[in-house]
Amino acid sequence: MGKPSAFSEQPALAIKEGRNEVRQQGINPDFWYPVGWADDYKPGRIHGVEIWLHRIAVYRDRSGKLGALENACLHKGVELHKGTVEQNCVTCPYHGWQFNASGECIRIPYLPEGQPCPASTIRSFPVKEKYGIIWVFPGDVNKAKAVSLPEVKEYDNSDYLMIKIPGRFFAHFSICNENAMDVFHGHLHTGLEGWFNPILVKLDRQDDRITAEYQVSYKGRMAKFLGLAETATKVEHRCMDIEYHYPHYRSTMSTLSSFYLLCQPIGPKETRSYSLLFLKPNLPQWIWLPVRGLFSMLLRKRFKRFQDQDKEMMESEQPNYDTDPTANRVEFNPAIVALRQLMAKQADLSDGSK
Amino acid sequence: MKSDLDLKPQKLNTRTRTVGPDLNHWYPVGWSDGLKPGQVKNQVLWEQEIAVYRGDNGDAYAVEDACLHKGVALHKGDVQGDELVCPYHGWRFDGQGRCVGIPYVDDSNRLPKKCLRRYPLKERYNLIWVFPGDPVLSESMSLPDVPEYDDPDWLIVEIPAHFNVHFSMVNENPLDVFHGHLHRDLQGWYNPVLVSMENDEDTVKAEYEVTFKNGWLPRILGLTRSKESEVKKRIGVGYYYPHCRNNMPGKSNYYFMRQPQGPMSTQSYSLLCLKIRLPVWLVSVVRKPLSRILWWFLIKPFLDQDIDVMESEQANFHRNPNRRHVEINPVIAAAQLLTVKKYDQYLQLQDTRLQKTSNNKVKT
Repeated sequence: MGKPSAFSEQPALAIKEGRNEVRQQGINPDFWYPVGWADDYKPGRIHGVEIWLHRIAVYRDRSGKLGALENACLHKGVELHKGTVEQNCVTCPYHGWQFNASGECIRIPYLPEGQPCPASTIRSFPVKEKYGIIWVFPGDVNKAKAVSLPEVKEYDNSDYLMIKIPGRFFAHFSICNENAMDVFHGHLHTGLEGWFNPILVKLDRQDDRITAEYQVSYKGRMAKFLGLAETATKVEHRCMDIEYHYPHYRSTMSTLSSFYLLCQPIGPKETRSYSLLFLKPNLPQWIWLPVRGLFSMLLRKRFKRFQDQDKEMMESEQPNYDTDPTANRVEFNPAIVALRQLMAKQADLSDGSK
Repeated sequence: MKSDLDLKPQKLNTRTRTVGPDLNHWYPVGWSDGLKPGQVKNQVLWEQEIAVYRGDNGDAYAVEDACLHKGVALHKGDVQGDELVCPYHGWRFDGQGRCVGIPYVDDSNRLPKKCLRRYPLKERYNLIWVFPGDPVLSESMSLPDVPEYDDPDWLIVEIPAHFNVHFSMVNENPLDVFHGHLHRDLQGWYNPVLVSMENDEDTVKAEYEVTFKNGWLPRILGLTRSKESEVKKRIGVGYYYPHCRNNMPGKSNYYFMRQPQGPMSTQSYSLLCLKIRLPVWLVSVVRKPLSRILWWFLIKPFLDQDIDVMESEQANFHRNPNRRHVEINPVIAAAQLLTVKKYDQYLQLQDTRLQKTSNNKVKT
């Protein structure tokens, strides 16, 4: 297989050696981060979630409105997700102090009539719902409006089958992002009829995003079913476009499939992810559309086998990093080097703003 | 001293959750009947490791839980007669902490003169009490008084509990009757109102008026009668440093005895005394099983809820000790003040003692 001639500036795979300092860096909080599937947020329920050491109580009130508050009562610091939603307010389980969506204390059950509630407030966070996901903005409230969510244009497009995949990794978010960005790890998924012979053909860096283009090959019955290969026996080359638009990731294969990895960094050694995979099954739509729930479930199982293999690698990478953070590691892929620089720069931005 | 009862934001001492206890008090370290003759157990009092053992003749002793020789924990050894034997080289210690035998030293004159630290120990109310402070002061300090304990009209329920929480949080729980909200589904108390409060050098006392709603639980406790839908009662609470008390006159007296083990660990041995209208002979027969049943049905559901929120309180404190909190109950503000003041007094006393001993050394 020769070099695709359409791209004159194919990035070179050059050795880069050094410490992986990005493993100790934090996030830039001035972005929207996913905290859960919207289906799990039933009216009247409160969930305790974390975004990079911010502990947040996210709830949906009886009228369906979402709220997000610092997960500690003003009074004694008890976690509010252990409480209840009453009159559309979060009620602390201990003494029943109530807080509205702005974090103001609006009722203390034992306060005599006419006496005002304390003027202090707890922190509230911007929260919204989109793509069946709940999003929270842990950074500067004033910036929330101007920052947009990743665009998922396949959502609500009935040509695609959507598969939702949750993930939980005991690894730093940089390890998770690198896994997605580094298409060269096709080796790991050999047994699952994944892609093979990846070639990095293009790499473009900007302040807040990296785009990379890989050429990959597919073969096999599964690839045929998913429209990635035309026949089960012939090798098919496909172009995989990847965009890491901080802090989330998207990869698309022309109009055949798209994959979004929406990342929730929990802390230095834990990351959750909410992935959306869009596929066009190689079947007439009247067959799969009525049973898309079943298809989606079967494909989720299939995809989960990929994710389990990835998880095992990432969770092996993390403890070895912890054992010796100063160890020199070798990297060949310029896309990964660029990704690390981007994550480090974003972390510095947040340090600078403090 | 009578105080302002207004529920308004109080001045709080930010050190409350980080101070230690005043060790010049008696602290419980276990139930007496939980330590059989010949048994030795490890107990921790504010990070001091103590070996508590009972000799074959029935007397209990408390010594430092580290052998004079190499520092091995003595509770790993065994009790022989009235002596504690280290598991490693077999050194023997008596209840006063003296080394009274080393298997490979024949001449008793050659035994080390240095002693293990020993702790004054008392047994009362089926509890083993230890004095972790200056032993000289142990005589002048008294145990909490539980007059109901030997009175056959009262049923005593023993309530052990462990909290992964600083002792100040544990003590504030019964003092703050406003937390009835937490137990609202358990037929607890409702609509608490603070009606009086006073405090002095060693205590904070307060009275609340609460409402009990008719239900099986208040009824068996004799708080409501079948015809009344609800009844108002007074609950008295007291912080008698370092222990707490909670009472409903003529109905119940709840003594909370605390063993502060470390900055995030507190053991509690509480006695709930209930006035019951049963014949004395029956009470003496069913006392133990009834006490277990009451613990299971009456106490445990409440305790589980309390532990859950307190451990949440501690966890959030641990994550961010500088978070500003708001307290509107003057009883809690006074209790926090007392907790900090007692610790500061203890530190001061320690300092003056140290200075005295160093002055004496200079003179000689």
